[in-house]
Amino acid sequence: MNKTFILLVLLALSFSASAEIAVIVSSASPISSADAKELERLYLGKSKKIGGSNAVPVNQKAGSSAASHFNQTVLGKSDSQVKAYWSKLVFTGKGTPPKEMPDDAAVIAEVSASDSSVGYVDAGAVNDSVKVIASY
Amino acid sequence: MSTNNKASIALAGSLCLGLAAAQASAELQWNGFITAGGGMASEDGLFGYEEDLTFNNESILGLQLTGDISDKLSATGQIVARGDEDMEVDVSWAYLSYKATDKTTLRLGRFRTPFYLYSDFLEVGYAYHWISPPNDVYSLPADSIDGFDVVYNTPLGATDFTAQFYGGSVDSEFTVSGEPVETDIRNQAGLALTLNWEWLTLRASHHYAAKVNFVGLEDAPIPVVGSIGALQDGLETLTAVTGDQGYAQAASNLSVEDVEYTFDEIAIKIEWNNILFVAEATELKAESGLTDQQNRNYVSLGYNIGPVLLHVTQSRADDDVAAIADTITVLDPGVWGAELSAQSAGAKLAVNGLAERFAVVDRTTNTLGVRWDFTPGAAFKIEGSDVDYDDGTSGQIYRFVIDAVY
Repeated sequence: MNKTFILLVLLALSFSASAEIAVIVSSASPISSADAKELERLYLGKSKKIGGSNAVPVNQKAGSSAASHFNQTVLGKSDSQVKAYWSKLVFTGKGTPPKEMPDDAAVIAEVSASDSSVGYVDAGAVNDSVKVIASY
Repeated sequence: MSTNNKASIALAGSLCLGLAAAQASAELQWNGFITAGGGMASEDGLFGYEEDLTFNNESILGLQLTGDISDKLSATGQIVARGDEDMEVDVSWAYLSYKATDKTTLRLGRFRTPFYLYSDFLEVGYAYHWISPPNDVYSLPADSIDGFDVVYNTPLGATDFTAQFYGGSVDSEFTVSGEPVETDIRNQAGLALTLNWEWLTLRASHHYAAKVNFVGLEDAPIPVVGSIGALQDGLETLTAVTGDQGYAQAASNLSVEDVEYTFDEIAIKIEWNNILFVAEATELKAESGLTDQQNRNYVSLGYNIGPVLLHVTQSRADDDVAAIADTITVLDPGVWGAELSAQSAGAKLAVNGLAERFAVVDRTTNTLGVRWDFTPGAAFKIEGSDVDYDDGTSGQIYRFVIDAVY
């Protein structure tokens, strides 16, 4: 029984690790696409714009598989490195990390309600209220 | 090191007002950091450690509160309790911050003096790989300042450029032979420039203090010499008896009033794939007084293997003894008699001894360490250091901590 449990956990892990992430904005947003560099600068607080339009990044919960996947593929950093990066800025008053949302649904609700919000969710969770500007 | 209490309370008070105003209009943001650990040394007293394992040296608890008063104005306060100061609570930061433009921020209050690459988050161990930055280099005691600064930040192509200009004053305290000595720094100003491009960070800073007064240092008891004041009196007596033989100059060189200091720093940091490289060099110079020039530097190399970072660091203190005894002529016993000659030789020895004792460190420290990020937000660190003094003595320190941010 233990072995089955471990197998299930491993399956779940490998599934979530391979799931594709969609970077989304409101369907009314002027932003139509974003490259990895723009997203990296946005999510590291180095820029507040994507392609000339104002952008406010929204994160998934730290430690979630979506956040880990995004950190690794777009920011090129591990969860710990991202945490250390922000601790430098937070404790110097030089910046605050993007707001964290508990799950895909919360990210979609936040992003669809604001023309400048940018978020990322599991590709399968995307609906009509948002549009995809990049996939990883 | 411990800052003036009255100033702390006044700052804390004004900060509370600012934060209360912030609370009325917007949400407050709490952040905290904690370091807990212990260490031991090959001999009692080395860097504050004992031969037995003790747990209070490394402990630090910090809480930071930020509140937005308006879109542009915010208040930040940071209180820190340190184990090596009996967990006495200290207001290390308290400032109002005004975002004048997208690129320019003005701050007023108490903040960390930007002496070093790691100054801004000196106590947030989680933000760097060591247990603490090499203390040969990170040695200036007055590391917070009351004043103002202007931070200008702009992208230059793919590079981020930051300039920070500040000015202010410091009241701090240290002890000499158990007696408190107050350090009053007036008219201090500095400029720090940082360039950050992908994996490369370059930094340079220059600092100037027009007047540094060590109140009470003249009377602090010093073994053999008695005190600086007593030595100055002795030199003046010699001058009165023998005429000008360079004693008056030496007495004024010993002065611990209105000393003028400059401090320069350069640093490079590379974070490239799994490799970490940091090097920093500093130079503290006094125009008069007991310090002449302190030259300090370190080089650190690290390699990441998953959540584990292995690192090795060499730091060096290579100070110059102030040449304040050079003006003293040892009197010819044939002309002045044996007693006066012996007195003048004694004075020269004492002045030189003081200069060596007070401001001069010559040693090399080699540190081997591991940082393990065992869970996001917390890291376990262990380090061993070997300290070799130029006079041939040496010592070892072993320590470990857990650093966390929340």
